[in-house]
Amino acid sequence: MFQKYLNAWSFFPVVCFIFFITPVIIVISSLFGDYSDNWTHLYNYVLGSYIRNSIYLVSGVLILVTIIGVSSAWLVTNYDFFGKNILEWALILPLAVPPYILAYTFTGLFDTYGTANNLIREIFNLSREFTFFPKVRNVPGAIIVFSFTLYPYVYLVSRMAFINQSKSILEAGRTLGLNKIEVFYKLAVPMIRPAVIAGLMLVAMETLSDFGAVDHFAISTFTTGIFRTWYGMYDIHTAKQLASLLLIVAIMFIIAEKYSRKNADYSFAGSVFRQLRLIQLTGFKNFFAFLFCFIPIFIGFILPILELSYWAFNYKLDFFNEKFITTAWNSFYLAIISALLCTCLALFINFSVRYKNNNLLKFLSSFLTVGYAVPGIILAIGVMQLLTFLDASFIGKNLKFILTGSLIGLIIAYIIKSYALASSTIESGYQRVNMRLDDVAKSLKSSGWSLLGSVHLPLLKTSFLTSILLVVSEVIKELPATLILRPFNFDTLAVYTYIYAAEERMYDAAAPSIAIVMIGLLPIIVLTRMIRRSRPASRD
Amino acid sequence: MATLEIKNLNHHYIKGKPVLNNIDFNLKEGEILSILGPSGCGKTTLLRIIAGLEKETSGSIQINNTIVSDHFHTMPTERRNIGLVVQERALFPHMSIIKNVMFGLNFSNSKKHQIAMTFLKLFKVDKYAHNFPNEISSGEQQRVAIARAMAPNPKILLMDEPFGTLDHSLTNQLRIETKKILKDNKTTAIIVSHDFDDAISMSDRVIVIEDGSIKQHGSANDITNISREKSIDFSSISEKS
Repeated sequence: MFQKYLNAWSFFPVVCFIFFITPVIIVISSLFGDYSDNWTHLYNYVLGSYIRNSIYLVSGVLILVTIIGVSSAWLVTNYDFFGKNILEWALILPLAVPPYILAYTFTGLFDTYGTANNLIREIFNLSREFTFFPKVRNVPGAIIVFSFTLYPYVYLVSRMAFINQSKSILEAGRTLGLNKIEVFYKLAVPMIRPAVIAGLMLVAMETLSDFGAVDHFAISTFTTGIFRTWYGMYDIHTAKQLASLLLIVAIMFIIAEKYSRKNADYSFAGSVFRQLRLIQLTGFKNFFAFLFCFIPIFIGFILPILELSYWAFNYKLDFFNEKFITTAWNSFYLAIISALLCTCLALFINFSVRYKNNNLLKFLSSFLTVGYAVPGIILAIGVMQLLTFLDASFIGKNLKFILTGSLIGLIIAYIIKSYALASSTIESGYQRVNMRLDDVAKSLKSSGWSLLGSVHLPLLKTSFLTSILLVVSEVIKELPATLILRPFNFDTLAVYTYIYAAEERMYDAAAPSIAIVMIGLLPIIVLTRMIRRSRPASRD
Repeated sequence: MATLEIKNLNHHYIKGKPVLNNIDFNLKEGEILSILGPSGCGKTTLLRIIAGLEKETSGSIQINNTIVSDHFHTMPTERRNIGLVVQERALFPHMSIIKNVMFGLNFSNSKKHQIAMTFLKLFKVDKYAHNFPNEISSGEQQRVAIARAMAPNPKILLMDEPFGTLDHSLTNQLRIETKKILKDNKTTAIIVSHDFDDAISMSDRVIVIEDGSIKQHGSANDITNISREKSIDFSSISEKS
């Protein structure tokens, strides 16, 4: 019975599974250990505020991203209005801006002596004490920052769901007496609910696992608490216990996301698909639709880019120095190595699942993707402990630490964190490769490596490259895991940005921030090309 | 001597719901056998089991006196020396026509090229050798698919609804040409079809499968006569599927 698992194609995914799960088990196991005085202190005084702030933050973000993501997707899918063709793909541009960079530009703009307040004072000749914009370093400010950087997750799934929605059902609603707005919220939105929930769960996980933005706004959440407990109290055990609580919440979101995905296409059952016809908007409605779609792009992408460019070119022209080049190079090669390894791993495992076609491999493969939902900070703690254990047990007896504090830990964490992105890209590529090609190739004596190399790889070329771009962008943006696992005196663009922003040296933080956004734009460009190809609608 | 021998073959996906029930038959060298039956009767599953793409629940399969699958072991598809033609044709879209036909050959490049061209000429598609699959018609694609499967000189050629997606006049022409080539090359072949005309015109023998069991087994002439005598409505089989 076990014979079918005793070969490289089945064995390798099992080894990966063990490697992926170990850091998580290390963190969770802390719950069953002793609880120190630090834990009692946290429990009595700050845990309540961590939970409260996290709940406020996640709830606020979920409400706002639902409004922005679903409504803008509905508008660009069903209506034709000024700038629609550009707005349709530009709405995903904020994905290139990590929340912590928008947080830095927000404080630079809206703090008492920030650019925006200074501008208002200058225009209206007001006194230096006058503040027009409210303070942003608080929970509502963080809600805005997260919402305007993360709404594309909901926009993308909603748009795809609306495109696939049967127009006939919506027209049936009209004949039954619903007006256009009622059709939207009584029929269209409930029908795409599972897809939207899956997108919202991703947003919730990203919000909970963020460190950079909440740290900059000085909001106490789980991630900042974990960091302070470890680096402030020097108590890694309590930090792990805190991380375990966050992980339990993340696991609940993962389950909800997987469940929603399972039901994601229930709305299309039994309905006859008919191509969408765009409705032309005119006058005030035309302007309103444009404005509604433009504002999220303006706040989430244009505003930070303008502010960062202003800082970089007006105040800090010498940003292009040796340190910047070294840091950019560090980020670049680390991202490329991680992306190549992660994509090859995803290709190998997805091939194994398809080639061997057994349920254990299918389960393991889907489980490997949960790394995406594990906050970087938790992953970093788990990987660090794993490497310390390996160093102490097998390698470091004479040579001291080899793995701990090396780039290996960082690359492992990046791979675990980004595997879901790579795997889903390769998987969607595989969905377009007919299984009959495999059958025929096998009958022509091609199997294993030969099948992978000569048939699958050439057909998955685009998915392979897309996956590399997505992982590169994810790794360049990753902050908490990099902060914890980077070797001594080794900086990346994200760390460089964080350190300057923490010291309120925003002008110095501008250049690396722009570099991060620019690299993040590469996969977005690929995605937008796919989006343009995916639209089956015609105009009236 | 039988090229293919199938004994007591049973298969199910869900216990208690058999897909194939006690299938027993053999096939002589150079013989063409058609498996006829409505959609969902298990004929494609039978073909996939012979190819090694699925594992039977019980029973045994011998190819050229070698057991390729039984309770104890299963020989993988790539070692069974079979050719496979599927309804979707499944030409490798990233390879030219000639590269598609060369794919299964294991010789020097010039020899591979020579063999591939011979088969392309045989199927009258040699002028498209350097085109890609999306540049030729579906009928031409089907010819290439059969040429590709025959080029490595397989012990048995398995064809699953080979003309299923083609129009009527093209199907008639391809049936005649393919049968001639199979006979000239003394290729042993199994054709799975729901089309009575396909089965009768292409093969020496016909097996009719219904609900996973063999209902009739005989020469193409016998089956035609039985169908006349018992008024078996094969057109309804075609229509059902």
